[in-house]
Amino acid sequence: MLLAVIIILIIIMTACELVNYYKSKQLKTAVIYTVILLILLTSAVIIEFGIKFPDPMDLVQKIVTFITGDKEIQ
Amino acid sequence: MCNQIITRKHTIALIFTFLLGSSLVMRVGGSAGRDAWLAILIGMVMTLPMLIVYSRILSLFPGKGLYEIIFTSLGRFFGGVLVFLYVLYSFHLGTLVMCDFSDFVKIVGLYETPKFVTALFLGLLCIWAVKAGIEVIARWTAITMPIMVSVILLITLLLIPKFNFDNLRPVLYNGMQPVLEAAFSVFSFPFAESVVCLAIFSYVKSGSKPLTIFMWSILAGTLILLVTTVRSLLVLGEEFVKLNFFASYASARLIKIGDFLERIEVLVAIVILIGGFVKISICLLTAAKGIADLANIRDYGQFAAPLGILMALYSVVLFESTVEIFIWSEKVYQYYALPFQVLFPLIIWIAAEIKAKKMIQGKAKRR
Repeated sequence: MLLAVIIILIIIMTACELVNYYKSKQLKTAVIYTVILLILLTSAVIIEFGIKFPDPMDLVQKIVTFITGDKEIQ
Repeated sequence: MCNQIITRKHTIALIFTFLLGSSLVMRVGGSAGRDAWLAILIGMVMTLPMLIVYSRILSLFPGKGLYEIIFTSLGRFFGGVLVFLYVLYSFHLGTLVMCDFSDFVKIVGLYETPKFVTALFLGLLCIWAVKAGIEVIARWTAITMPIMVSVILLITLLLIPKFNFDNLRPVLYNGMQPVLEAAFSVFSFPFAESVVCLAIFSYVKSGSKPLTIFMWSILAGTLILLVTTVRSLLVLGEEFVKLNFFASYASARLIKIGDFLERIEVLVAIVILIGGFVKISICLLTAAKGIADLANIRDYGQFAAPLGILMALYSVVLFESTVEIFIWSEKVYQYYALPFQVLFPLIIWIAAEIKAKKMIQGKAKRR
């Protein structure tokens, strides 16, 4: 369901905003916008299909545990 | 977007609501137990030196926001790296707040509704606000802030009959160590999070003193935080506050006057959501503004939609449970946020002082 909602939202955003940026030749905006939409789509696919991906927050927690020695965090 | 100007009063309201944002829903200084009020006071005092640093950075380049100052003082490359890190921090903070609020809504009201639905609607509202611009958010905050404060005070007044002052005693029973740890936590969440607000200072009316703005908002924020924390402790007691994720909301549920005034906690939920909406909007705005500044684009509102949806998506998968959110915010967050709240501002301050001095010397030579 999540992926479907995100795809619909991406289509709406492309139709309402991205196309206009390309048409009005705001290429820098259009490229950055496209990159963010691609990140959005990739993230949605990863989440929907449960693909294992290293979580940056786990790394932060490990570093903090190492510094503080607080095992409750894990 | 660039011609928008917000007044001093609006900025104070904005930072005040930003500070209260998720502190009303999450317990603040909870690890200090019944001494949480003391942790809040110490946390506020700990924040004062950093507020002076933030204000000094802004005073050196009047009319400029954090990102412009970073670029001016550190150059395009190093400045760009730092701005990118701040964009990530703002984005992550917005995602964390969105996660807190969608969890809050799920637990207290919409049990069957998927978390993503709540986060998405909250995200859409914030996108709308950011697209409308900082001026609209600031004016809206100025209108809702008195309502928020009135509701908090009204709830406190109605709960006075249920106050049990024994819940606050004995003071410092476990010593000073847990209080200081909690004060450090309070310093990073919510007080020093105001570093995110530095980016909006390019829209603040010229002639406004940043230190005055920060002081008023922090003082008012501390007062309201103290009121809500002490109220929860007096009504529920230390143990129940520790067990309950949303203590402020739980204490309001106890209000019952006669047979006609009950279930008043809805008011608290509305106030909490107003605070959350403002905080997420500011985080989204500063993240979008950072990306726009990195690419030399004037209109930050163009990136609000994809970033807002991305925030909503990540807020669903950030934590597996509410317990994880509390462990993160009480045990990990303060260390994670330390570079953004203390280290980087100190670097920016030193670089800005050097740059400002060079600029003054350059001007004097030309004369």
